[in-house]
Amino acid sequence: MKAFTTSMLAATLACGLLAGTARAETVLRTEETAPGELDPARVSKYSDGMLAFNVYDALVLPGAGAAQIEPLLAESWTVDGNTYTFKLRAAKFHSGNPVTAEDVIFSLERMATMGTGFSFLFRDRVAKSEAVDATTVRFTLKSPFAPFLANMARLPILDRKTVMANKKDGKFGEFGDYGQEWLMAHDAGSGAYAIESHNPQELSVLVKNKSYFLGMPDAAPDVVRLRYGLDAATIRALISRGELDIASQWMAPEVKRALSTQPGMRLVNEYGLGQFYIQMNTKKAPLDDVHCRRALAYAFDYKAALSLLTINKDVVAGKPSRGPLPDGAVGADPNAPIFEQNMDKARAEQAQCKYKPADQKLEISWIAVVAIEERFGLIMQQSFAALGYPSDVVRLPYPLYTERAAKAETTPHFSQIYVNSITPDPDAVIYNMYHSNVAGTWQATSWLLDPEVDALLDKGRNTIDPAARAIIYNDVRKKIIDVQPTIYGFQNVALFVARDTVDIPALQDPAKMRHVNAANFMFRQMRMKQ
Amino acid sequence: MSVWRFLARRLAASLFVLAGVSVLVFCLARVIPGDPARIALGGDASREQVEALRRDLWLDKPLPTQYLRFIEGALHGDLGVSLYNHRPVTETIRRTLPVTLELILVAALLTAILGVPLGIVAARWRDGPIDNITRLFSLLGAAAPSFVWAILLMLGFAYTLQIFPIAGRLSESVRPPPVLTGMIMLDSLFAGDWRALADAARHIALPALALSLSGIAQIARMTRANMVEVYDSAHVELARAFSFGEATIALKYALRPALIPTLTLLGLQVAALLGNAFLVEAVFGYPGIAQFGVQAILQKDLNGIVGSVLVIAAAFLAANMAVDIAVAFVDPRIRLGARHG
Repeated sequence: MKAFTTSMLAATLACGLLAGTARAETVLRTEETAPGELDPARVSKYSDGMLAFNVYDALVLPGAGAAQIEPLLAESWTVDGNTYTFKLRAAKFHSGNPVTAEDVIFSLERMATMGTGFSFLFRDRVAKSEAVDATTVRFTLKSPFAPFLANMARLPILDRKTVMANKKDGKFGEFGDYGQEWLMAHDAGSGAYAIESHNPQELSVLVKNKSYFLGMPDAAPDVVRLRYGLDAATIRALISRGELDIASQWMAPEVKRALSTQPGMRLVNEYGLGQFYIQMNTKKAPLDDVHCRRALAYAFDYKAALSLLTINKDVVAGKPSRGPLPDGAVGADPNAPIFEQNMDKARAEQAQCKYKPADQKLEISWIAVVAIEERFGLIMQQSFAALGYPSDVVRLPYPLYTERAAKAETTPHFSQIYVNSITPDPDAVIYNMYHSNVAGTWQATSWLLDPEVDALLDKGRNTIDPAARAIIYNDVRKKIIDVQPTIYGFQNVALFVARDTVDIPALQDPAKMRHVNAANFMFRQMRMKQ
Repeated sequence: MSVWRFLARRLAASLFVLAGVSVLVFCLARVIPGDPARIALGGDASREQVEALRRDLWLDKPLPTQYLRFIEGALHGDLGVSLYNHRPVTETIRRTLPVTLELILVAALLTAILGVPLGIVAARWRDGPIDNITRLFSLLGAAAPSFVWAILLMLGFAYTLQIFPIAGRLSESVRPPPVLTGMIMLDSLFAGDWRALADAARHIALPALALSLSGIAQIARMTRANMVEVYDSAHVELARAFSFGEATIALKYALRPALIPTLTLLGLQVAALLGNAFLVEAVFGYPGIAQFGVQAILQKDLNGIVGSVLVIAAAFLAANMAVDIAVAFVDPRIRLGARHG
């Protein structure tokens, strides 16, 4: 009897100890700008992308370490002329429904029909969509469009049955509102995380999808709390007190500098996604003369601009640019010379320009809410003054900027823009900046309207062979540098303050970094430390 | 009957003001530079998409037609869809207004229950140490804007001393009460969830205090100044001659006449609270209507601007009406004036 009692006690104690040492639920806390858009057809900002990459899966994923793509929901694909055939893996949505070819077609048609978010990547491209069988989907394009495969990385696949079960009346015929109202607060995805609650201006709570088809590492956070719209002072207090694990990239350099010196915190970075460009309006004097443009590009003080981004002696939130494409993009040349100030060359180019600097007053614009652009504007003013150009630095609210950008005659001489890759294809960056079809939009304020550049960009879209495309985009890059519609300010390096409580391999190891906006915030790949 | 007439007149005046505000805001929202359809759809949308959205928003119609359609929708509770967060504006207001109202109500309560007693104490012991301390506090309270107080309070009491939470409305570990009013404290109370109530009170304490400090200072100064004036009047001297106690004199004979301008100021303070709420909401991570309104303006969200401004204007008018009613009860001359007016 005594032995039995002892055994029972030992068993009870062992159970107690096991329970006591059981792994506690891990919570990752991070923050972004508001509102967080949960509907995949409305994704456009970084915060929306974070939600989409975790809650939904696409057929393919931006590749790690290089500008390529990896399989995700599609285990394989073939490209035959204009026909793309994807074979799906056996995956399930959070609802338990299997992911089928019909879901893929529904998701693409929904995105293209709604006309919001990244719909422009798919608009007017597909002539025919077919569900060959439950796990094979085929798209036939109207004409060759090489970026189609890379663009599929931005098409989150929705659970058709769940969406249709929750549709409301709307303007999309049999599809009602396409489930828009429901999808603003709920998910219909198959991703590594499911939505527990979502308030677009306050907080999203995501929980681990333990039956995720690619498996779910134990060390990945069990719960993710993504807060929106916090003030910089609040973020600073929260992360210092351990109530936030990763702060977004949008804090001022001085705040990042102060935080990075605190114990238990570090800076992690994301680069190769985009650049800071200064577009020159090539339809306005004196910028309609290529020599003037080159003179001003040589005169710009690139080092001074980068000094504004310096966090400490080792970390700068930018690096010198080599041209229109960021490092690592298809067509980019890692050995191309960086853009540097050279006043001798600036004066030599100015001597060939048909305009006298003193006769030309330049308008340097900056977007009202991006305070650092005012400082870049002042650097421009000082740099250009060295050539004798008078200038005004003008603050423009974004709505007014977009309105003025619509016409060449109202577009300022200089517009400052940040452009980030939304897909792993170079087309996503430079087509929207330089092709004549998009002139007058916020990115294309150089009004280049160059038939040769247009022809090369079109050729890049129409050529399927990757090797041939690399050559074409290299030619585009050289041609654009030659006509100099842009001052290539710097390559953007996004810096995040993170606590030591979390490992973020994608932001710590260049071989694991994905060169697409928000794709490095796949929480499944993060590791929480107990 | 006279009180009802008084109320009816105030209500009619408020509705007239609200109608004026609606016309003004509706027109102003449409003359801010920038195409709202282009901003809403982003730089990559095609011209056809932008034009389609412009048609959806009736922006291709003359302004009076647009306004009449807006009024028709508003009367049916439809303020359109926000171009900023793509949700119906009425839904956003339903979600965010209670957050701001709760904050403002607690701040107004703090303003009244701290401001008036401070003024009374300062007036009662005027030119003494308490009066001097109160005056110094009033000066500081009135001089620094709410967001400065918000950051100082957060750094002092939340970050350093860790007595209060830094941000949010409820702790992660506390389950929110079922939504009835959208005001967490009130909903916790209705649900009998004392833990949630205490937690929500801890969360709202600093933002409400930051918001109310300027008001507390002004109310204290106003109450003190008025009471000091009343203390010098003949009827107070007469009360003293009749040997009434100082407490009775202060509360019955000095405070009551001094309270009328204080109440009026309190009404104006509500407007100030609404105006300052944005920055305090931003610092403490409160997802209220003030934050939404500012984002709507920055993003040229036509429906969001009009909806949030109208709601804030209505809240302001309601607060002023409440103050008018309170003043009418405190001062019979106003009621009599209404009867004869």
